[in-house]
Amino acid sequence: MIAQPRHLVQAAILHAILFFFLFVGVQCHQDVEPVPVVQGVLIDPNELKNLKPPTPPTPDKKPDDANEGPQQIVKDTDVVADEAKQKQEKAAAEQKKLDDQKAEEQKQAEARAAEEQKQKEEAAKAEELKQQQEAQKQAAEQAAALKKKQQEEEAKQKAEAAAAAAADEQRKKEEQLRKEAQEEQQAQAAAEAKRKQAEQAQREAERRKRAEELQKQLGAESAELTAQMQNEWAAQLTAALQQAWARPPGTDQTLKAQLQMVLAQNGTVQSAKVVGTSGNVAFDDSVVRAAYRASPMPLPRDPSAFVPNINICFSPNPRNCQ
Amino acid sequence: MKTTLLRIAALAGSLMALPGFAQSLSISVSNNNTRAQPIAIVPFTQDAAVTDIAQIVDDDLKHSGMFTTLPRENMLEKPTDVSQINAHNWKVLGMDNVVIGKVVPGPNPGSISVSFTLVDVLHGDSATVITSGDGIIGPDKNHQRTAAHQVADMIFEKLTGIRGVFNTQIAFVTSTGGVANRRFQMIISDSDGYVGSQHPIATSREPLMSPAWSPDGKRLAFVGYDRGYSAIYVQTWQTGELKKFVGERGINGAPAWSPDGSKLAVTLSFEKNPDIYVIDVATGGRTRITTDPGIDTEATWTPDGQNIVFTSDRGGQPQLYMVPAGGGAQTRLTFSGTRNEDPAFSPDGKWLALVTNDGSGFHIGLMDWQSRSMKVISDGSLDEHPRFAPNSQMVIYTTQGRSGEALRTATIDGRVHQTLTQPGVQDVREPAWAPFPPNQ
Repeated sequence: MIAQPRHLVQAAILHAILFFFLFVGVQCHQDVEPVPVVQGVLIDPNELKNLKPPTPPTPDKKPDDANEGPQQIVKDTDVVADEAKQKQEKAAAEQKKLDDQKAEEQKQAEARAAEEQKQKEEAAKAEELKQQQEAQKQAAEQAAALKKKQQEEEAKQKAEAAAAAAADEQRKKEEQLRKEAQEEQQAQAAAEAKRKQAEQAQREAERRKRAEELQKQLGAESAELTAQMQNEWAAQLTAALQQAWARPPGTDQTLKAQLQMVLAQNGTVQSAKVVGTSGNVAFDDSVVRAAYRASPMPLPRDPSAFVPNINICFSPNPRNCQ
Repeated sequence: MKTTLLRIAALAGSLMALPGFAQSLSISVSNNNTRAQPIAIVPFTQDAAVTDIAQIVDDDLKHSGMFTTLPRENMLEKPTDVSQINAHNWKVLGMDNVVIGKVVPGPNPGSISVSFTLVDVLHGDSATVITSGDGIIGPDKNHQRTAAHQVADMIFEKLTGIRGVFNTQIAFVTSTGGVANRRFQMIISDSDGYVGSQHPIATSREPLMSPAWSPDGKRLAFVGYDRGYSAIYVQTWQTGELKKFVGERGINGAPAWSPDGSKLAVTLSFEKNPDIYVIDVATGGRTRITTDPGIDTEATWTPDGQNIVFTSDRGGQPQLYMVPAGGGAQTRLTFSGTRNEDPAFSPDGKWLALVTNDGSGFHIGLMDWQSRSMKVISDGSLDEHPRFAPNSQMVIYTTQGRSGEALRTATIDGRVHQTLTQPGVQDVREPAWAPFPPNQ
């Protein structure tokens, strides 16, 4: 399909050979024997083609050189032409005929060539189109590639930006952590200091307490003993009041009254007053009377456990006082 | 027997917090027993001929169930003046309060004037005057007791916060004689039933029944028979008028005043079987409230006057039902026991007294009107006809005594009972406690 330069060369050589044989024939038949020449010229191009291998063109000879050859030959021929003008004219006629034929052939050849050329051109055109398409395709591919590349580039940029942000974040975090760690360290240090201080204080307190306890032991009772005695005393007071009190007949089981009692050091009731009324006169009165009836109250084993103020909740139902 | 519970609270915390000791103690005392207040009524300074006023005060307070009194023979001293009282002498006997007093002749012959002082011997070493009164008049020889009841009421109210009922009256029916010469009397007396204070307002050879005081205490409705036919009579004190209020054919019974005194609910059977009717006292206009073929009787008004509670045997046995005072839907109230009958509301509306039979006899029961729960407060087995004292603290009813029917009172907690003895009288029944006198 593609017109190879080789074929062009071959065509040129063929033309050159044909032209050459036009004059060589004249030279060879100076003895006026024109007929055989004509026969020799009518060579089918196809046969010529077949003949080609025996007369291969000089591989290095360019088409221009081929043209040069016949010109040289024509020059030489001019000298000879005068001598046999008639023959020549005749031959010229012949030649003309031949030439016409040749021209015709050439025309045909040219037409063929043109056809070939056309074909070649079409081929070239197709090739061009193809190349164009190819180019377009390539361009599209390139564009796609470019786009892809751009996208990749963008993604890359983005990723880079994200990475940068992350890195920034990480940096900040680390900064924060560092800060926190620092603060914690400081706090720990402070706590440690505090703890040490507290320990110191506790040691001091313990020392003081031991001293106090020692003093107390030396003196009278420990606080614990006092508390224990106060508990015992509270139970005795409760029992005494229990004995002294019962609600008046006909009063409700849901009632309760709060009594505030003040004792003298000898256990005598100095005052007893209802600070939380039951709402029932007889009931309130009964708890006041119970306090006085129980007077003088029992005393704790040791005077240190004594307190003057006693708050008492009275109720038929213990749940009411909870 | 004695269930006591004691608790000690809120101790340890304050004790541990303060070095040494707590500045105050908090304790709880619980005791579900009830105890009457111990009180000593010292004999009053008075003429021996005069009624023993101190003894009447003593009895009144004792019978109320709210007090226990000290027998005179146990007293270590008998002071006549506050300055003579040695608190210790009373305290050792477990007394909280002591009453001393004096009786002098009143303005009229036979009348007396009483003064008294109520003293607290518990608070401190010396006696403390709580309250006192003087110029309390017993208007005549038969009503010297009135002054004593008034003193008792004053002491009672001072120490309990509740108005006393000692100076109120009761109505009841007595019957004496055999079948041939039976005599019935409608009697009015002091609330203690003292014979000397009794006076009859009606006497009949035929039965007298169902006395009912009007809310203002000025009238008494009751049932009497006139030649075999029953009728409801209304006695008005001020005019002395005794009026036959309603006397239909058949039964005319069980009158009950509406709380505003304008109507009487009665039982009438002239329309074939006994039903409850409401009769307007002023106009005599009559409304039939029940129409049940069973016996509907013994109506009593709720204190708000909106409903009537009555006895009906429509269910086979007598039970209590309630109906709107203007008539309407009737609902059954009692379901426990085989019989529940003869209802009466406490004036404060808290209780509905009734006669209940649980199979072991007839007892006085109190239904808590709010919760509808019931408790028995009487101790007999043939107790009937309960009626409340005006202060809602006691119920008076008929009981079967040794020699016949007698009146008995019970405190609403059922703890103290007191029989009102009637020497020489065969039967005493159907009491009705009068309302408070308007001037007190």
